[in-house]
Amino acid sequence: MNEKLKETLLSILPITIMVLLIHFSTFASLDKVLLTRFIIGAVMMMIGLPIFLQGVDMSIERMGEQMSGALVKSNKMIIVLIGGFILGFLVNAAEPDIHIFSRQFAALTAPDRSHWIFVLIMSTGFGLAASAGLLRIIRNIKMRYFMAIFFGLLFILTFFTGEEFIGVAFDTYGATTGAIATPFLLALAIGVSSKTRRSTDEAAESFGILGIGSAGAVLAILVQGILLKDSNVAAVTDVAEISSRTLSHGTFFLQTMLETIQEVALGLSPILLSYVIVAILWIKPKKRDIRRISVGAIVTFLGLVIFLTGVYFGFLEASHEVGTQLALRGEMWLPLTVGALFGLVSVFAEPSVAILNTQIEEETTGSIRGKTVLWTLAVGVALAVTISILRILIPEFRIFHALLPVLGGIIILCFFVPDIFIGISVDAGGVASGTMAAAFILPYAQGIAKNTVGADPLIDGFGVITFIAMIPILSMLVLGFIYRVKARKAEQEQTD
Amino acid sequence: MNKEQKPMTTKKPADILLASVVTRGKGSQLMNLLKHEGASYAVCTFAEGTIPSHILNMLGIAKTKKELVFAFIDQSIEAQCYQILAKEMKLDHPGHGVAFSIPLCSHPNHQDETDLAATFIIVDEGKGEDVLDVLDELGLRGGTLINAFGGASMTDILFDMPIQPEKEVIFMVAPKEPLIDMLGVLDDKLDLSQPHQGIAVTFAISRAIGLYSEGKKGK
Repeated sequence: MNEKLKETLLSILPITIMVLLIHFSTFASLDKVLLTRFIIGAVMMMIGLPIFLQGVDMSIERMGEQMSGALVKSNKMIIVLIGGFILGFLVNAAEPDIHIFSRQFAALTAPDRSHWIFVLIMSTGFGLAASAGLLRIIRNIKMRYFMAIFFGLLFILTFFTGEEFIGVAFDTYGATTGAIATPFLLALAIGVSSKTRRSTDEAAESFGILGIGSAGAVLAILVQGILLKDSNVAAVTDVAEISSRTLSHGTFFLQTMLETIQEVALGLSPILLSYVIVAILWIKPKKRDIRRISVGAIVTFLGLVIFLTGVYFGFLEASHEVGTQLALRGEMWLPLTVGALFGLVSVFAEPSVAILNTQIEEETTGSIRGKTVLWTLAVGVALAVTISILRILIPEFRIFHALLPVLGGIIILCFFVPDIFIGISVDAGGVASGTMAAAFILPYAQGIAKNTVGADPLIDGFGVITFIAMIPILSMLVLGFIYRVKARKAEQEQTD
Repeated sequence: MNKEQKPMTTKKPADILLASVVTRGKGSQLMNLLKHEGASYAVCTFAEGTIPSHILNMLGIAKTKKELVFAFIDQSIEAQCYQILAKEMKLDHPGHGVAFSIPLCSHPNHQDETDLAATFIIVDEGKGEDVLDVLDELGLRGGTLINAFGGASMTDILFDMPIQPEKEVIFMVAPKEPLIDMLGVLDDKLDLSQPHQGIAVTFAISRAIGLYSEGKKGK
């Protein structure tokens, strides 16, 4: 239990201390209302995170594992593929972020159409790609070919896509895999992989499904944009203004919590429902498992509601306020430095990152340490936020100036790193751009954009998540490259 | 699967397998300590520990993350190794882990046999918890669970290709008598004497540290 406490403190304290430091250094001071909410939010995150992770361990991962067993035992590829598609589709369609993005999307491109069309398109893309990802695992097709093809297509399609559209489309990569989908799909893929292993060194094939799925969703949305040629930005309705200061703490808290409860219930429901169906028909779980999974589902629900309520209640507005005040000071280095630091510490608090890191350690039996991955992702996100803020501050700096080199770098690097790192890196991209990116970094960037001359908060706001998703992929690949160089050196030393 | 594999040459052949279960993350330190003392070979793998608590077990949160270290040492340095483990890893305090020796060959000078034994039970993936339940009924608590692959024959074919079936290994230290009784009970419940149902073996233990209360293992 001591270990768990330490882990939690290490993940939430850095971001808390960082914001408090900025507050007390008076670069950007929060008022009483925001400060109180921020501290309450931080405490809730510290309580919610370990509860959520415990619940995931008890139920979500177990459900993913058992469903992978049911798929594999069918011994029919077509069942695995259809099952993979349905699960990928459902999990994605229930992702709250997908609905937010779809609404923005509809508002941007086709105000007369329902946002559900876009949810459908993204989820189909995700489901198809996730299904292909399972095929890859079973047939042992190397991840690097998959990655090169998917990212190659993204690279090419970017040229045919309107500039305003690029950011929104690529933001989907980060929106697709949230805190519930991540552990479920990871467990599903790892289960399929370990149940169809011909030798024990195939652990490298377990990862990559999240990233492939997300890339599939982005591809679907890009193709849609090109086919329907509606990538012209229509009259833009402004993003919802964040202002809850007039509400009392209690009202705002209740309102936030109710919204969060809806969000988490929606995210959990497709997994629970499909598990119940599969369990009754095929798995026939033991009593022990049923008890464990039901208790675990409740624990997951509670933990995530507490955690997310904390984030939305305390962090969203605080970071927006910090962004606003820093931009108003008119010095460029301030928002850049603070942005980089915010990016760094927000990764530690991201629940999906913690889940991915545990799985990486388990699957590689510790040869790739979670801490190393964590720091690599943190540096990647810090860089990503810096680029996004630069883009806001310098109007000439366009999104494709940074995106195309990053995509190119990813495609080239994936031929020079060990197999295991390729799967891990694509997964890491979607995982790094989770809750904290959407509810802490994005409001910060928007706060800056609103108060910078020449910046358009809507256009510049899109694309922030894009980089938080893409640059960690690059930084993980660089880590893989360093591993390879080091391994080669060690080999040479041994032969000497 | 092995995290670290650095064979080192020593003059004397090792005659003791020193096994140790510690908290996740402490394995490397332990291996370094043992190698420093002269262990000829040490490997570390991930394992899960079970806590002897019924309530936690019912909720399914009875698992804790552990690392399992196997090291080969010479009998002459055994005492030293245990001193170091007690001092540096605090294995002589409750809750810090266990270590014990399995003699690799019958040694004429080996007098200090304990009344403890270790058991390894290898079953198909998913049956590990059934084994733990059987052990629990017999009052044997605190086993360690390792995920593994393989089997006597690679008969499993999935999607037109032969695969390595998943296994679970349960590993426990307890007094000799109940452990030997356990073999019979386990056979009754899980049909181990039938082909392809699993294997259970026991080993004598010559020395141990970190075990607490009768019939129970500290971890």
